[in-house]
Amino acid sequence: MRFTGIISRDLRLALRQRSDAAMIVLFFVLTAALFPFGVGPEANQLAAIAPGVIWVTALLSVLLSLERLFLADYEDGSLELMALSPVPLELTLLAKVLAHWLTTGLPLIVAAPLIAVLFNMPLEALPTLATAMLLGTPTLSLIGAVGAALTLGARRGGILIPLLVLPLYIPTLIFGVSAVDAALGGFPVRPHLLLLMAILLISLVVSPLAGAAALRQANE
Amino acid sequence: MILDRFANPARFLRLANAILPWCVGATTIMLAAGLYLGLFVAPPDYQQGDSVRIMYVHVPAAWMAMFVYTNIAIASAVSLIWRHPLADLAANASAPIGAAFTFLALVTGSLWGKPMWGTWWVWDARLTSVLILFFLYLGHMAITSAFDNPARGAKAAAVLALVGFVNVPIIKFSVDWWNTLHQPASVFRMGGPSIHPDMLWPLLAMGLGYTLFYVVLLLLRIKSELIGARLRALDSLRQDAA
Amino acid sequence: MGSYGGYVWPSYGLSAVIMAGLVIVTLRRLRAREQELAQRQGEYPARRSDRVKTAVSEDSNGSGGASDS
Repeated sequence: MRFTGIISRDLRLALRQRSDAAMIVLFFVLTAALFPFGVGPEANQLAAIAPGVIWVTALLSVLLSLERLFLADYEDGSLELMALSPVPLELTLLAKVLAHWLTTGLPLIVAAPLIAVLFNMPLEALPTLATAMLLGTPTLSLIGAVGAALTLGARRGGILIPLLVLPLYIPTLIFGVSAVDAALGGFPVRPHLLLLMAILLISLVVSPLAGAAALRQANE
Repeated sequence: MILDRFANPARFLRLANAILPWCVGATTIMLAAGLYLGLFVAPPDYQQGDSVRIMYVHVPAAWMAMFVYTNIAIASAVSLIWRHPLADLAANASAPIGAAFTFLALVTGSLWGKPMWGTWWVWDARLTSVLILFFLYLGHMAITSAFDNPARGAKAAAVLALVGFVNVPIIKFSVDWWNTLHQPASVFRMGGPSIHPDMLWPLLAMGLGYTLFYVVLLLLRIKSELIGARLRALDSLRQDAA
Repeated sequence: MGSYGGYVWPSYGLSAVIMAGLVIVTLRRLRAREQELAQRQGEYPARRSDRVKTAVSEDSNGSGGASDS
């Protein structure tokens, strides 16, 4: 299976289950909408926590979708075929991650302005929010893929993934929020975005290696 | 290669049994010396008073939290690269010890923070990093025991430990960055290298004592795991015979 | 300890409790497994149990004991 083949196959599968992506976006918006009930409807306070709320709920939404990333392929044996194919497993994993991001990260970026508006976040920061999420959400998919691969065949795999993955999400969360905060405060956003990009590049190297090793273990 | 010398579990056990009594003795002596020096000889700090004595259990615990995680990462690398049979055992036996030290570092830090900062918890960069390290330990322990096949659990934990190890400096850096953005830089800092010798000696004694304590527990736990492996082998023998 | 005793002693006490707990848990499991192994060795023919025994005791020519874990 070629790289593009895997992406298009996964995308076709995802499109067939459009409701899944829609559910994740719905979860994203719904969870964010809970916060005003927790902290009160005061507009300034909501605007102050908006970047954090958007990022934290985005992390949780990505988590929701991770368990199924490899599960179907693992259970029907496609994973073993992928491991046997001449395409390196690392590349296959990247294709799966890209498909995952296109069906999870991208919809979240599209939905994020809605939450920003609900939370009275000044709209000048929207381009920064979108850029930060564009750089940050692929990292979430990449790290998440390692967690998903490691827990294949585990008892209680679904509960295990957040425990493994959330601590590793913290740097992305920190720089994602600080980029938007900087934009809101009128500070330069470039360093924050560059750091997000650096984390993305590191994940782009580490996660295919670790993820492919985990997938091979699952196949043994 | 030096690793091959310990590859044979029987040889490892012989070595472990030989050095265990010495390690136990040295641990007892170092901890007793550290406690005596820390509680009775070391002077109270001129600013922090006697609360500075918490340092002698807090700082070694924090050292061990990092040291044990590094060891787990090294053992995991050895396990994945050379498939050394003892490396998995060493990593898995280390994790609960490291988690316990990390927990101690957090709680004693909190007990030190209350009289110094006035609150039990501050989102100080160091405390936060150690908290995240504690979560990494918990994840490692959870995945080790999550599989019906212990070998799979050990291998998955090894991959996780290496990914976590790559992330530790990134987490540290990002938490420092986040902390300077959000916190006035007035939080209390430890004396640094200019610490008084009367305080340094108990600290070093306790640090050495904690390290030896870890070695003793590690040897005992690996021994126990080796016997566990033999018991599982006996189980499969019995199943084959039946 | 002055007014700080309420913080210093719990720190030392908890450290002692946790570290002692680690030792107790570790020793208990080791003892339990050693006993179980000693019991089990009676169940098998001599040659086989010898091989099992050598891997765990101090004999030098034991077979690889942890290869399956």
